[in-house]
Amino acid sequence: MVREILRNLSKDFSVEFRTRFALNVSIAFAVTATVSVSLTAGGVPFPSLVQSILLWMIIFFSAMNGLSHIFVREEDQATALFLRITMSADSIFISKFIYNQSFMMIVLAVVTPLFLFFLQVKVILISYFVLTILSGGLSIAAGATILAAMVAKAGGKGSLFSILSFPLLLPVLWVSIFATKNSLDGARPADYNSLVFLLAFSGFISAISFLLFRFVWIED
Amino acid sequence: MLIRQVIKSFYILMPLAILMAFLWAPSAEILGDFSRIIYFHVPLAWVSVLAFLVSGVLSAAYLFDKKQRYPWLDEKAFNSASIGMAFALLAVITGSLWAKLTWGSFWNWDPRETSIVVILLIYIAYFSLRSALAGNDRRGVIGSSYLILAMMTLPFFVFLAPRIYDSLHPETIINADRTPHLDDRMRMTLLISIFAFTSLYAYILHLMNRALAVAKRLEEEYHAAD
Amino acid sequence: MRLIRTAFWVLIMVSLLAAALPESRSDVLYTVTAVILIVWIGLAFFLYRLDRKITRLEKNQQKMKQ
Repeated sequence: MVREILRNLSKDFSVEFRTRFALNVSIAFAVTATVSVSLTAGGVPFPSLVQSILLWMIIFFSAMNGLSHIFVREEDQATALFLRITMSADSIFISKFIYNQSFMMIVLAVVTPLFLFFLQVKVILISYFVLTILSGGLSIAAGATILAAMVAKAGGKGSLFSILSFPLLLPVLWVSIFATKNSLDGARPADYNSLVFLLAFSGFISAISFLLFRFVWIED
Repeated sequence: MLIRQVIKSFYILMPLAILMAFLWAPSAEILGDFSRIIYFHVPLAWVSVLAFLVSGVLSAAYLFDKKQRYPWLDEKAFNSASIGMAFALLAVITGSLWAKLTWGSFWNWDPRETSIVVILLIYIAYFSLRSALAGNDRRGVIGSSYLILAMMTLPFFVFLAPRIYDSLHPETIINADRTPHLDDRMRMTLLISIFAFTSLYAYILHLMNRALAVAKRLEEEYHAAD
Repeated sequence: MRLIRTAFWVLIMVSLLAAALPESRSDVLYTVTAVILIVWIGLAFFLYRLDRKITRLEKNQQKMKQ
């Protein structure tokens, strides 16, 4: 099982990074959104709440542009059938899950510094800020993986993925936005409850999606 | 089939509830006659949650019912969800009218308003997913698993919403003191109205399921004739 | 049987109405009640007809099968 997962992972990475289509689209979206917000604001710094809302909206939608590609590609290139024959659903889910998490981390690593750079954001509680971004991204990628499998079955139709993800990931966005605002103000000491909430949410949703994935994936 | 007769009781209960709500129940101390909207708002909200739960349970049953002992459970879940959507919209409309009259604005993100919006968002996503999967034989499975997944995240909202927004929605708003002391007649009217709306929901669901069965059987005959 | 049941329900409603009448209500409330009742009766009639139609379809289908 572990060997299967590793093999699938290395295949996914080499296929995805050969074209880097999804990654390019996500990062290009993030850059465009950040630069256009900064441009229209004309260098005036926003209040911290607005800044954290903008940051999470940009992260959410740039993630939505890329996270579904891992499953949509399998259906597009008609490789899903072979995958279904050769590997168990569980190991496919785990490898895609790990791939999506690393994808999300790359997007975060590009988007967050860019945002801090262009919008003149001053972070006061730096470690808390970084932890919030990381655990928020973890939850988004955790929830989005099984939705990506569903959307791929529906033909990967454009904005369907973000429509499906939004109600599920709303608690994540809420908690992350308020925690980020807190880390930007530094008005209150870092409360780690929200981080615990985000981690608990991602654990919970990964478990549920692991259980549901075989229904979505296996055709009988 | 006793249950089929019982759910028809809304034919009687509904006019009864209307008469009781407007003529029998006393008006509330502060809000006056505006408070009578409670006899329609609360049952509508209750039915929309009930319909949501029923569609979730039917979806779960569909996923576990591998041998298809109960036919078309996913379509029945969809029927329940579409009734629930209509009732939830009506609950939102009556609720925001009431909010305008008592709190002064149509919308103010109180926890229950937030949760009904989340429910509406889930419904919208579910309907778009199902319409995107039209003609696909995986439609039932994928729609059902999405509904289950979305319902599983609702406890997080229940946990979160009161911590983020302050509630304006205590039942206590009807009276001056902090206890929700509804008059006995008010409580009776509310109960009758809840029963009436619940049986109306059950009746419409039953009708839709029967129509669905007729259509499906017709389809089968059509394919058999080929 | 159905007649008796209906008569029973009508009796309950009339007695409740009688209980309601002594209290003084503003005319607006009576108007609102009347309007909503009429709307409701229209809806109920529609549902009743729908039920009859579906029942007829089901019976037809049964007949076709035999």
